[in-house]
Amino acid sequence: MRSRLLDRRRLAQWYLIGAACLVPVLACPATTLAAQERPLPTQNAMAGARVFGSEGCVKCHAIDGLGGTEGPDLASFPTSRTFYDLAAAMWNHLPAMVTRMRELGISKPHLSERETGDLIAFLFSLNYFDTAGDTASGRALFDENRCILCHQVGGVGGVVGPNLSISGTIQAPIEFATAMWNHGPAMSEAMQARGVARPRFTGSQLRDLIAYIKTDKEGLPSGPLYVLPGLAGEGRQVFVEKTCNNCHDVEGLGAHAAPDLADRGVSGSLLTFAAAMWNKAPAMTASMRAKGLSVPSLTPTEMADLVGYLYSVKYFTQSGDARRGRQRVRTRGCLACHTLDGRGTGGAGEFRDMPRFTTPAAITAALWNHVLLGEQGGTAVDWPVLKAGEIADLAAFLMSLSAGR
Amino acid sequence: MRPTRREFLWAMGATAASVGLRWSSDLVWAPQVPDDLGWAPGTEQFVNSACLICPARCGIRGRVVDDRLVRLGGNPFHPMNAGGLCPRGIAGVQMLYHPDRIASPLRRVGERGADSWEEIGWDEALGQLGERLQSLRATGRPEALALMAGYCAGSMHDLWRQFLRSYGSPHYVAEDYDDGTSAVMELMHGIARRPGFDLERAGFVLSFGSPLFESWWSPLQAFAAFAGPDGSDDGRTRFVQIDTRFSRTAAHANDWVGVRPGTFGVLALGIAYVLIRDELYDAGFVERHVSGFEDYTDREGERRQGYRSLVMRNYRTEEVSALTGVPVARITALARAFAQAEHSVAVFGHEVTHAPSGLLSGLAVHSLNVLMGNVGREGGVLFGNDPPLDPLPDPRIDAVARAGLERGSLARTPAPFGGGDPASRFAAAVGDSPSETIDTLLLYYANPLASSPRPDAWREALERIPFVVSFSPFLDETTAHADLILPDLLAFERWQDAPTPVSYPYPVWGVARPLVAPPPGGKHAGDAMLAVARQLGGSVAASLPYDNVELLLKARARGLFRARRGMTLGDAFELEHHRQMEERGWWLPEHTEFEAFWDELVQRGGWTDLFLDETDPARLARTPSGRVDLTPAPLLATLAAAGRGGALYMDVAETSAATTDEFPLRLLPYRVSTLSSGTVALERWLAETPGLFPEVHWDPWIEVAPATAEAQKLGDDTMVWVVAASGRYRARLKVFPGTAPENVCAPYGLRHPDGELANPLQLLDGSSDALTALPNWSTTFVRLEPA
Repeated sequence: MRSRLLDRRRLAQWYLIGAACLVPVLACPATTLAAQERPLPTQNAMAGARVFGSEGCVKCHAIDGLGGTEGPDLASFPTSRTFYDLAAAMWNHLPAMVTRMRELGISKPHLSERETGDLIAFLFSLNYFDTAGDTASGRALFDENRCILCHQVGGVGGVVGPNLSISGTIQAPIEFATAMWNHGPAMSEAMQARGVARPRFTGSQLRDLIAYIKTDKEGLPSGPLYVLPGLAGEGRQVFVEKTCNNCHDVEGLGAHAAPDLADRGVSGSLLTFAAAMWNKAPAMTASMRAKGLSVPSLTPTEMADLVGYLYSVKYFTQSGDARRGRQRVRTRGCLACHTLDGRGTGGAGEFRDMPRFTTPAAITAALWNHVLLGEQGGTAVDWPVLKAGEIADLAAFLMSLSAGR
Repeated sequence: MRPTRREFLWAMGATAASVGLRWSSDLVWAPQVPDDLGWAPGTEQFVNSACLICPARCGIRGRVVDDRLVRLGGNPFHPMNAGGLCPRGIAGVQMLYHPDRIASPLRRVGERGADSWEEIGWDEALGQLGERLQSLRATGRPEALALMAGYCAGSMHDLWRQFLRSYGSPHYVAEDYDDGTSAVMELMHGIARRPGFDLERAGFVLSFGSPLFESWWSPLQAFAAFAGPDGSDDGRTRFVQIDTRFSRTAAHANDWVGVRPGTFGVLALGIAYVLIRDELYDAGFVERHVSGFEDYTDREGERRQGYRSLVMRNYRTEEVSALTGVPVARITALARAFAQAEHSVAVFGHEVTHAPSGLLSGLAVHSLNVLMGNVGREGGVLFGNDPPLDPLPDPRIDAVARAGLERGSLARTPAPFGGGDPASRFAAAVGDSPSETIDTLLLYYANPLASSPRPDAWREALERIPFVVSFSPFLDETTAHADLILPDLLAFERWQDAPTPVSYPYPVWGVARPLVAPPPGGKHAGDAMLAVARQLGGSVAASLPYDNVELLLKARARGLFRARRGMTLGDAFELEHHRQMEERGWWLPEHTEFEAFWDELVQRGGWTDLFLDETDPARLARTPSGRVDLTPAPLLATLAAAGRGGALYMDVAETSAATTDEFPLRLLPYRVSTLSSGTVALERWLAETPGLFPEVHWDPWIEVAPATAEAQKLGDDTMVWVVAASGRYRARLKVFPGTAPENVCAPYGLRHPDGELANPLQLLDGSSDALTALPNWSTTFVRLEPA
């Protein structure tokens, strides 16, 4: 146990949602890795939060309502958040952002490779952490779903299940999610015996329920019960050890009897994942029993690691292709300003003479730091809107140029 | 054309004059080539640290050019002062370059107090102290060592305590600004801790005399809480100051309510009367979390009146108005505003508790927070956490130390619910003892001859103590009577931790680090005592296993690294984002290695944790019943034993001697914003700080109502004697309509330009609250005489 703790500490540098991103090393298949350079291990979500504040992003953008209102709240970003999704969003909105910044008298921050990587890691991690739920809705759910038949909150309720007011194990979301998974089968049976329909959680319902239960903590010992985000690498191991791969596939790791969890996009929050596990539990349990498998029990740490792994798989799902990237240079308007092997207008320089780019973060930083035509008296051109995959291709191409030098 | 002889001579003369002028002008003003002088543009750095000048312990950022500190400002990463800094902190630069600063050890060579010294080296100085302490332990008299310390919360406090305990001395005499609020919280909540006030999130702040914008625990906390993002009044928080004088704080408030001295508690209960009468209080909170509100039967089976009955029967608004001088309509309006605000909080401190019934008045004021349920919740009273530092190792107590400790402290408290003024008690005990009790007295940021209300007792005590050692870097009044001076480094030259005061409800562990190199021969007082501990060896050395204070702080910071909460200081977004994550149940580490964590902590100026779990019931009450107690049984029992009846909330009005013909005016001392200790009074520039009286500079002053001045035939700006039964001092009279006619308001701790002290605390009548032993500050009467 001790060695595991020590190992966790050492490896904590690599955890995805809160520190470093080890996804490309452990999660990406070899075929992807060939075209996909790994980001720096220093991509750190906490450091990214610092970049977000210190570089002035917060003046226009908010995170969960914290910050400016000029731009959208980035915690409610509607689309998925892969690395290249975020890089594309930064590139595509650059002209509008620069214009608005100029109107507001804000100078555009210059981002370094490291800062860019950290910032994207931070933005990527936002969906993982649930915001606080609504206690009134939670109370209504508790009543409507007749949880009170088995559980007590505020001294009222049944005694079949644990008294949730004095249960110290539900103070962190991950603890709650784990308890629901481990006790799911028994709870199902108890509900069936009492004629209670098994609830299905949608939207923020599970979050609201936890918020309600947390309002009553009589008898709990004082002190924080914080939980670290999961380690993606450990989670990959849990995925195999707990035989999840007997049914599910994640990028070639398992069978195909159940949905590929990477394809299904575990890009929501932890509690979204927990709710999905709860909702699917009867079907999963039945399927496992049919295969003669026992339902695995998880510790909170294992659950955190597992969710961290599945969440992290999405980070670099787009695989860049250098050959396609070369085509993009020609077709997406880059040669209106740059030259490639002498072709193009060239005012902004030859691609082969550019600084060496060795990471996607370095390329994203270069894209962000782009001088806009028109900024320095030149002629404005239509700003090419790039998709995430196109940015990935361009990144692969530009890194291949660097690799050749 | 050939020039004439005259033209030739003119031309030659003009040329010679031009050359001569050019040559001479070069001599006078033409600059040398800069490189010749070795001049080059300076190297500029901005370094985060912490201010150690007053108890607020704000974060500071020093501008250092070529290794010289040239300016101080606030550290924008510090959550409490958020980049702001008060005049005291700004003036710290002047302290650094003060010409009177003592940089190396001095040994007295003449008579005590004769200002005759010789410079000695640190080895010799520490050797002398070490031998003296060694000798006391060798003769079985460790209790003959005493320490008088000024405010030094944090690791220096812990270091001194550890040293004295392992040495065997029970005489740690500290000036920790006890204001009795901790006793109030212990009685009502079972939590022996000063309250924190969440001003930042409060919607309505009702201050009972607390000088929030002047000399409160942290004026910057108040400024930051009431200011909008651009520094202007945020308009969100309504703030009413109830005070006996129109103060600078009152001038900042939305409203000022003048009140008679000693009647804060009565006014609070008048407000409570309206809250109960009009059913404006939080009945749900009271029902769930409060005991003693309704009448009850105690353990002995006796029927007792609860809070509601006592208030409704005894504090009708008309009666309260007559006692306090506050109109009935005003009392009603205050109660309604307090009840209607989303988050309201009643703030109080020594202005309420330094009175004959100070403890009971404190209970009365805080009962308003309880009635509204504004405890342990946003915008109310919060009980915070201490930073989770690693503790010092358990002190090793050998047989000599054990015997010394068992002999007990000379400053032990005589009161059931407080420590009162331990420094004065200690001095009196030393002076009154028939034999020599203390051999060696250490003075650490303490100048009792200037600051104590009993300077006579201290003078006598110093005469009876054979060996006095001061760590002051300035020759203040008490240091002048020392035998040995071991000058500490100044605040911007040394390592020290700087935890914020408890008034700020969130833990902040600031770290002060050297902004500039110490002077040659300079030494940190903490490092000096660690060296003495090593010299003493044995259990004392084993109890303090640190080479220097920097390493001690670093060792303690390992606790923060392991705590799995909080973060190094950061900008507003980082701090709030991190807080929100903890609120959701997540903690995000910044570093995996301690060294990197420590480096960043130092570089950013400290550590903080802004998340408090407000739903935690332990933050509300730790009483045996688990409820907030409006009628604490220990207090009732003490009052009954003292013959003061069996009911609380009855005896909260001041009952002091009335005025006499000889002394017709009530003296009301107060602390100004520029005063924090005797040391800072040396900063003359602070005497020029603009205040409510911008025309008063350099001279100490008193405030007198126009009618009073006229009746006494004393004009504005007259120099007068303030005369009490126990003595007198000089001050300049300022006619001020914000003073009640029967009062004289007097700032304390100021000096005349020639250094003469002007301390109204020395005139106090010596009476105190029997329950806390805290001195009465509003029961002394004076007269004014032309000086």
